[in-house]
Amino acid sequence: MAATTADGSKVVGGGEKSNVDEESKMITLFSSDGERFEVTQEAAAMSQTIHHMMEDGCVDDEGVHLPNVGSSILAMVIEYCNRHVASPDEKEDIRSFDAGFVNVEHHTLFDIIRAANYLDVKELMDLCCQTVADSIKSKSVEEIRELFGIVNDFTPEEEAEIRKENQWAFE
Amino acid sequence: MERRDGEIPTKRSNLSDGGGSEDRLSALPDDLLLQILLKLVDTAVAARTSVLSSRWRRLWTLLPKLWFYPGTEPLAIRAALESHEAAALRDLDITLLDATPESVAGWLPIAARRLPGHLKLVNIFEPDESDGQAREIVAFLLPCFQNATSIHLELGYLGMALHPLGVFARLTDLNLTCVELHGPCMLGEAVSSPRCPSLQRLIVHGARGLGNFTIHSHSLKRLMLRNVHGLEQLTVIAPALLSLSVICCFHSTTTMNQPVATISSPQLLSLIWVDAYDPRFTQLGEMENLQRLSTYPFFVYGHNDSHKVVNSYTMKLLSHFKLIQTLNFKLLYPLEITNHEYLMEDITRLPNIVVMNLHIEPKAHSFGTSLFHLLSMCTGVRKLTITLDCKTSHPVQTVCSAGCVCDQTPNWKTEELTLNCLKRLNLSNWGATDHEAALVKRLLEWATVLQTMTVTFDRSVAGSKAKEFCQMLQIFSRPEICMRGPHFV
Repeated sequence: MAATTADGSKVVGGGEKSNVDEESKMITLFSSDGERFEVTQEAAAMSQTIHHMMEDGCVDDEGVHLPNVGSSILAMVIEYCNRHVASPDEKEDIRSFDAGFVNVEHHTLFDIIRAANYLDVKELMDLCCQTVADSIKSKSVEEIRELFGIVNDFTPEEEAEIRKENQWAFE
Repeated sequence: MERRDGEIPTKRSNLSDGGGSEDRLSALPDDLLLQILLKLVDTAVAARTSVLSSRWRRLWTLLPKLWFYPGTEPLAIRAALESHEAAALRDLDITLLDATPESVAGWLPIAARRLPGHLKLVNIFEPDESDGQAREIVAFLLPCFQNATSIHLELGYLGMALHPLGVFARLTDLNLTCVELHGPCMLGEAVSSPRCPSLQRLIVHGARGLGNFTIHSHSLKRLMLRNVHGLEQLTVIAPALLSLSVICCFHSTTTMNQPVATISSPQLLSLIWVDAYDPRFTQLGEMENLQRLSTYPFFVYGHNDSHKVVNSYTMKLLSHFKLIQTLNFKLLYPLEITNHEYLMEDITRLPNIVVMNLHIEPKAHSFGTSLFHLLSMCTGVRKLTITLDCKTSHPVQTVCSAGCVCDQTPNWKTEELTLNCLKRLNLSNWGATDHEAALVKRLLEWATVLQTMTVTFDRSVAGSKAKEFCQMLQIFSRPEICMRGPHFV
């Protein structure tokens, strides 16, 4: 959904590129790798981090630099925010959007979690953390290790000791 | 899975995690992993992650909130609390099934020592044949929670005694639901200012063993006592109290105690007294700032003494006041009126009422007569809301039986009433019946300075019928009255 405009900046989401647009004031975000993203202020405000910066007057004409967020992940976060401010009341649609949104590889999901945490987008954090939790919930320890590539660095004795220590949880 | 020492198991390729065998999950910082573990909403599941790898071993012990569900052994809760990192714990949410005092006593003291936040303990009680046997230990001791800010106990009438010592220094909210209180320490002593200096909201909803409740609190803002079975004496000295609710404590289906009560709460804004009231014994004190009052519902017709007794509470309570800003009042009709006495005329005067929120459960009877009687005694009302509750009626019944006496003396049809202060009239959840139409026309005639009228209908009323009703009203109304509602053009 990203389109590149004449000056090379990317416009993500449905908004028209506009620097001075009374109805939906735009704000520019820069990813860690220098890519430019134009977002409505309303969508950007879903990030409490950016929201506070806007309120405190820390956003200059140039925009906001986000050295901790790469372009591909930032694009996804923006897509999420755009979708959620667009029609917040259509619960069914949003639910299916969310389900599709988190249907990504785990490492992408973790990167989104990091970005959502840094940008402080609570709903996105809740969604992604819940997704990871759901995939842990009903699995055995072995299955969890396998799914996420967790290396078991315990000796068998150590592992037995821990299981005994937390016996109550394994019963 | 058997593994030789030192061998790193080859990771089987997993389609859903294509690309790299890196463990990106474990690479997340603690606080993000904890947010994921919190979403598990189950401490046992979270604790099992301890065995995933050394990175995970103590992670769950840093969880700020722990949940335990029915089926968890009390020893398990204790073990979990003991393994858990004391400094990290904030909130505890525990649901038990048929707990015994001994089992609760096993882990509660540890929780009390560590918890700085919120405790919710629910005991689901399933009455059992074998429960008739006398327990050796009848109550657990609730320790003093020195740091907790909020405690919510729903105990299924499990016996509880209060520790006589210690200060609940940071407790602002306490909710005791379905508790059976045991001595020797009285609840009032435990929750008054010396031992609960920060308490702002106290709810006791369903209690046994609380015959005498005396509380002295400088901090208390809201107090609710509901179904405190067998309450005999109530003393509330709370200079900062804004809201007081006493519901079915002195008078209930099982008890009828003299309402001996002394209330000293001069800042009170809201009083809900749905209970026995007798000015000889019930001292409400000065409530100069009172905004809202709610009483027992009033039985328009009664066929036994209990209806008259309850009505007398309401009338005596109303007589205590000269002026009421907002009165929430309910009129109850029975299904059948024959052989019932009309009790409305027992109300001989009302205080000056500014705003009246009237709920009527007409059970398909005409209610014009009782409405007229009520309004004739509070003609200074400025805002009147009449909400009809038709849900409790027989679903099919829209008119009462033939020959019913409910409208035998329809003085409201012919007599005049001067409601020359009434500016706003809300009719909520009406049924668009002919009786209602006639009544609204009279209301419009009585309310000579009416400015706004809002009408909404019960969900069961057909759109066409509602529109018809509103059209009729608009024709009958005056041009200066603003008519509001979804069915007005």
